[in-house]
Amino acid sequence: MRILIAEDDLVSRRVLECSLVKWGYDVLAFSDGVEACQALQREEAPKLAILDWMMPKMDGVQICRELRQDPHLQSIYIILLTAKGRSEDVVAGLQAGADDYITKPFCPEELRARVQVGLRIVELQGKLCGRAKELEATLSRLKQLQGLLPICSYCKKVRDDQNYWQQIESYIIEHSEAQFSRSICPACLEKLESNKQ
Amino acid sequence: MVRVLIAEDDPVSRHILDATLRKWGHQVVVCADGVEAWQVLRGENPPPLVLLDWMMPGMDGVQLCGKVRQAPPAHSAYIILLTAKERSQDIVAGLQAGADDYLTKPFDLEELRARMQAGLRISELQDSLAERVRELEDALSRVRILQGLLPICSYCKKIRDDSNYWQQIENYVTAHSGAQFSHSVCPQCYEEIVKPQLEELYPTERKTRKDTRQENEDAR
Repeated sequence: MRILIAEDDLVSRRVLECSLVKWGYDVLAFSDGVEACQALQREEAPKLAILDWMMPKMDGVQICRELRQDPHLQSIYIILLTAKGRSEDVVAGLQAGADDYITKPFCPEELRARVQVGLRIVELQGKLCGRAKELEATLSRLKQLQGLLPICSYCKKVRDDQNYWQQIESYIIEHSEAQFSRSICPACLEKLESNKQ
Repeated sequence: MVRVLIAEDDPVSRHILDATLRKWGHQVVVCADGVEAWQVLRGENPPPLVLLDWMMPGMDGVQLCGKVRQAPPAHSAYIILLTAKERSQDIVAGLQAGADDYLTKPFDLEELRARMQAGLRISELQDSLAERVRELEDALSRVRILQGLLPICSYCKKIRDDSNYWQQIENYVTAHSGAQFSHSVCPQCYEEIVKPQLEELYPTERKTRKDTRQENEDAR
């Protein structure tokens, strides 16, 4: 699982990165809020981000606000990491769109537990998204026979979209999963035999 | 109005939580212990947001988290654990048991509100995804697909159905797909079948028209 981190302080960034790598995650590290924000808006962006609040140019809270404006980026799980531990700071961080909040200096095991919570949520959403995409693909692949088909009452040919009268069998084969086996019904058999005589 | 479940054994704390959440406009389901809360959570249409006290008689908050997370994945309640335990190892234990968030008592009400809002955003997102999946599954189950090997009469184009009955191809296809038919006559059958019939019915009219046309041409 890939995790994006944004932290301007070199030492903190290294500690964070090493911890996450040790726990088995792939880490995409940024020292700058603007770059981190751009990376999170890309197609293949990590679904979980740990953002420092205080960064030059663009801080963690600004990134949260920016991402939450886009309906497609609602599902990125954001943990805000900060030395600001007062309740009003927590409230401001969460209201800006963060999913969780952890104060520095943090206990590594607590961070790990919070990352696991985030990943559980992200995975559940990923599964639902995957299932929806799969169903959409199945539905679009299905050849469905539908609409009002003009059929000739005598020979049973069907007029297609190009205004061409084609055999109903070939029309149905093209527009459905059905095949035909040619046979003869009792009524036609009887008629055929009486004609021979 | 969002439904929230509160499980708290202490009557005073429970009352404060209940009153606060109602003031914020939530519909509150109140439980005095973990067993009662589990009954609500495994019932029909459980509240999407859950506030659990850790220490409760019978089944505590952490045990309840474990039970909820073992339930089918459709059960995506967002759980905030409320407790006086504030050591890091307690937080870790609570989150690992399946809580989504953790708030130590005594807590700031605005912080609780902000954490609940974060939880609601997540739970709404999951609900809308789950709803989309349900819609698509429903659509897929309604699709009628014409399939299989259909025995067709080469002459009259009737199809033999499963009950060995030869039926008109239009009826068969309409019953097994989303298609309908409008009956008309193709140009070839018009020339070969319909026109001779018309000529037989109205021989004089045809003659009259032909004669008129001939006369017109002669005149030119």
